[in-house]
Amino acid sequence: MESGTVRFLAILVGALVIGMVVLVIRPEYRGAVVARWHGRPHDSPIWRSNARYYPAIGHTEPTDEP
Amino acid sequence: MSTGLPSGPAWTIAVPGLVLAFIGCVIAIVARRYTEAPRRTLVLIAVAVGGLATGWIRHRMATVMPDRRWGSIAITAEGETLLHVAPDSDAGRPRLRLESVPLNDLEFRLVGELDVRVPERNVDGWPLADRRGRWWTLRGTVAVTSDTIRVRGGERPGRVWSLPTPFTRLSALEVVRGTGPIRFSVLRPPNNVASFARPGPRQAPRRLIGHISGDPIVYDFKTVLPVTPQFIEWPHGGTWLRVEGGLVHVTVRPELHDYERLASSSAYGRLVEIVGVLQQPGGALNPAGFDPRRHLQMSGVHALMWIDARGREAPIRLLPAGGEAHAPYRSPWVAFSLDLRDRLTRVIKETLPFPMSAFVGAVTLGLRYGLQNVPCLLQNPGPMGGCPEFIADEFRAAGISHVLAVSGLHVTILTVMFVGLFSAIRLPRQVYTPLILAALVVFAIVTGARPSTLRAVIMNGLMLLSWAYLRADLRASVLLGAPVAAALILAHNPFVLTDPSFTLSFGAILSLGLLTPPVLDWLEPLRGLRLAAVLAWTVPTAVLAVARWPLVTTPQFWIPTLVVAVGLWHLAARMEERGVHGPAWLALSRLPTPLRTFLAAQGAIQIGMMIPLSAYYFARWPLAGVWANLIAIPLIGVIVQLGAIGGLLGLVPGWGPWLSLVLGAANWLASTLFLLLGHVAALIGPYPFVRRPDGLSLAAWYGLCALLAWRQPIRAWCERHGGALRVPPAWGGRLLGGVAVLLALWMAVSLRYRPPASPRLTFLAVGYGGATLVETPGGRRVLIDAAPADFDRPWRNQAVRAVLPFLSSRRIRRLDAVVLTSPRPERAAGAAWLLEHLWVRELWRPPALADLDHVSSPEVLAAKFGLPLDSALAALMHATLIGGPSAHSSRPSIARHLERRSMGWLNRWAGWTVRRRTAQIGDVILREPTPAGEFRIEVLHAGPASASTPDAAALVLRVVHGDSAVVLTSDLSLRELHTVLLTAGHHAKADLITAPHHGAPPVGATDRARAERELRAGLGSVLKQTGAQAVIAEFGRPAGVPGASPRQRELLAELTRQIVVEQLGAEAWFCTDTGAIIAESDGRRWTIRSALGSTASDEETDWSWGL
Repeated sequence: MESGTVRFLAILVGALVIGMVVLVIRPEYRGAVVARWHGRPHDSPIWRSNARYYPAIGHTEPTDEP
Repeated sequence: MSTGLPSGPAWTIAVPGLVLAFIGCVIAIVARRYTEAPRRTLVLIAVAVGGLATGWIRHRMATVMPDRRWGSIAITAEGETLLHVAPDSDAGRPRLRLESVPLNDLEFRLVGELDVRVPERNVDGWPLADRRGRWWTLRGTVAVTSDTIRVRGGERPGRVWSLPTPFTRLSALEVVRGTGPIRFSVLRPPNNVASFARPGPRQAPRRLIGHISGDPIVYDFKTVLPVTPQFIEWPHGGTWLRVEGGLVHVTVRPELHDYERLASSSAYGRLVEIVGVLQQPGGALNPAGFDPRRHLQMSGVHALMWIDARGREAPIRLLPAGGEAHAPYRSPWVAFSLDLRDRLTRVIKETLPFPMSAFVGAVTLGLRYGLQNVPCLLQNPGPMGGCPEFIADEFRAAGISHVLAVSGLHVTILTVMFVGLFSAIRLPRQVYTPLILAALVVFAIVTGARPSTLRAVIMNGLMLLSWAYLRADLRASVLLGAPVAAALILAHNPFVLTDPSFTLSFGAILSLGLLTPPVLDWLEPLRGLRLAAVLAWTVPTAVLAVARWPLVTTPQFWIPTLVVAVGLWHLAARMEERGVHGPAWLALSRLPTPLRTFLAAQGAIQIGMMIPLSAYYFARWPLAGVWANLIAIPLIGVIVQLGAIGGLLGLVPGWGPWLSLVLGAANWLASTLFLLLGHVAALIGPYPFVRRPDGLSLAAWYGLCALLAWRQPIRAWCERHGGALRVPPAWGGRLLGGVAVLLALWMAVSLRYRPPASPRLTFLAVGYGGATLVETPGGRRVLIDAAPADFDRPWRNQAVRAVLPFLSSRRIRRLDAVVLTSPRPERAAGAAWLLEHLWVRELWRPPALADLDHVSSPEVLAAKFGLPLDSALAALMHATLIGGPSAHSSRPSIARHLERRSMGWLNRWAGWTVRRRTAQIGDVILREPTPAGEFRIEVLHAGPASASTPDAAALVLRVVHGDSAVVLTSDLSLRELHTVLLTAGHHAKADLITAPHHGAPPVGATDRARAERELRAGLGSVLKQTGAQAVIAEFGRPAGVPGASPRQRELLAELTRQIVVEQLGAEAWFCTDTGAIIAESDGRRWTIRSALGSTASDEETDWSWGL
């Protein structure tokens, strides 16, 4: 089972390289980088595309007072 | 009283489980005595049987709801009353069971006391509870008397009376009339929430208090809260009874105040007060149809509530406990897991665009409800017609939907990932194993603790422990883990015993453990020319299967191709004998061992799980799954690992979110590839309906699997013991072969269609639409109308949801004819899907649809039937009859399928062609002699080719058997029907008719009184002309049906029912009440019954009772 270490590390390194390429190529990821850089991740096109996906999970939690 | 659950004495629970355990012991002893099985095998048998027995007993306990004996009552011949009933700690509604035969009629009442309890409320009217969630109540005692119980003289012992009146103590019997001797047992059924729920939405609202006992299930348009009720107000304004078991699923919608707090995981564990209609979940409507009641029961849910936000009072309130917004029923461990899940979901939403976020959320966090109704990435036509329009449907058609249910695959991926991670930092396995176990437990809670996840976590946990501390063999750990996991899961939740996720999960693991080695044994020797021969046969067959699936399932294909296969194999063998070998590289043994094992494992899963269980549960088999999983499984490994690592990194302040974004970008690529894989596989891989196996067929299949898995030990045993019986050593192999042939024959016979003994009509419950299967004793089958279907509302596609599964369960794959009696989508739309999946010899249609193949534009079709071009009805008719615009070229339509099933050589070889027939008055669609007289389906009326409305184009059919007949009126108006029947004269006579327009025939009047008069005149005339004594209405929920308002149709159907029963004195059978309806003829009359064994009277309950 421990032979999975090398495979896992290979996946991780490969993913980091591929991720950087996608970050450069895809406009929504470029937009996400810019939004995060300015400290407004909720302005990212990626976050906006998820507006209807679990809308209760936002950047601010709903208050828990009755 | 209808409770939705069977009830009975307690012994019915224990006995089946004890019998099972006894059988298990006998098997173990016999196995030990005669097979010399190793001790470990016996331990496995004992654990497996113990788990099964425990599960069975617990399952019965949860589903049978046993009555507790409370005491007895008796009335003597002299009128003396005897009562031996001990006081109860909680109020209950007693049940009386007659124990002796009464000589006279008797009427009596029970008299006693009830300890009334009502919640104490604060100034705002909120019920009060302490910090531990214990409710504060005000108590008092009142005297109560039951309703009068009437017993007839000579009544048979065993009859049970359920009393709605709650009692805490019974003190006396009050005889109203008659005398004894008579004796009753007094039983106390549990106050399970099922006993308070009633069918249908039209009932008084109930008020209950309890707590939210699970994570809210969030959809994009509603949220379902699992609520454990603790007290219920019963009756309205009366006392509060303690609820003794059962969950309620409470549905809230976004319009509701406080929706955001209810739809968040912070609602879990909170106290609530709810007011709403407490409804019994509906059962299956058709044989082999989905049964929502059973499905919910498996999760312990026995009632449903829909919250109406329109009332003045808040219908649902999150309540404080001990004066604070505190969740007393929230386990810290679960709270931590759910909080972690919410944080990980937020990271996914930040790093992956929709719909990839929904996909990654589903496979890593079990948020599969977020993927419901999400459109797929691309839309293209498939070779067999439509490609599904939603991602989840695509995955199903591609055979890779198992990745959405978090299971052993996901747990194993995470286990290997964590082992890799900890090994990389050089921690000893004895140290990190407990950490991984804790992570797996959190993962199980986060993903909803479904049976498949629990099984995987328990098995992986055992495997890790034995690997880390005992250094045990991996295979032994897996085989020991399966029965232990089964026993633990069943002990926790017995309902999962028959849940597909339980059986599929264990089916997969047992297939992997037991069938992978024999499949590997088959694959290993394949090399050289023999492998070339196998490939030369397999590849063209697979291509043909994709291009023309129906062809490869016919004997006219299999017999010649099997001859070719045997010939190729022998040719390869002969050439190898002469020293001609293929290239050395052409050998499966040259493949790397992990890849070879992986291929064998995929084959084992197809044999042991996918083929039999997919056919059993879904009546379908995704052919593409055979190859799509070869890519999907490694790819999902990458996606789950990146999702987990990326999510966890996103929680680390500083560089964490940036790294998470990079990994999310990589996961975007992997997820996109996965979604495209699902799309391509669904596009080119057939997803056919197959004959649904019954228990016998499954037993035969698994018998063959057992022979395959244990063929070597069985052969060895036969050879060892053959000497004693003086039979040759080859006896073992021959015996195995013989048993295998017998099992295969058994399976083939049990999968055959069995015609009914007398002509039978099955009116399927397909909502507001029609589909009637006609079967004859000679085995002829005709489907009259094809059920409604709608592209924008896939849940209304009754052809796929009801008709095809029903036909599969009857093992019908060929129809002599499909008759469309009307061009309306409620009757014709489903034909496009039927033509995709069934052999249909003839398609009969009304004259107005004779030019179906030549009409192309929506304008022509709308003008032909006098419909506004922009109407929903015109659009749907065009889409289903002709085919929509090119943007929707993937959608099936009748004209497209008729074109695909033209007279090409492949279609003719498969018998896949359809003869088009246009019905004319006097045509006979089917004729068959029977001992009770001729059976025939004749056309009584056919609308003109130039019909000005869809209704005017309808066909009226008459099904005749001997002296009895049924008239099927389709969508003709009552006035036109009157004219048709008048013209037909004595040919119009029938014992039974179907109500036009599914029981809601349109009338000109707009107000209720005039509509009633018009309906009475029309229906009265039809019944008089036909002489029918019964009316069948294929009525269902009309919401979303284009053409008229649902409210008006419901009103018309209600009026039809009233008029037929009360004013015209005939029987009315509505599919909404009974589900599918069966009418059978003996040649003299038709007998009508519900196909599911229930009747409308089952729903008449005492819910209106009050103190």
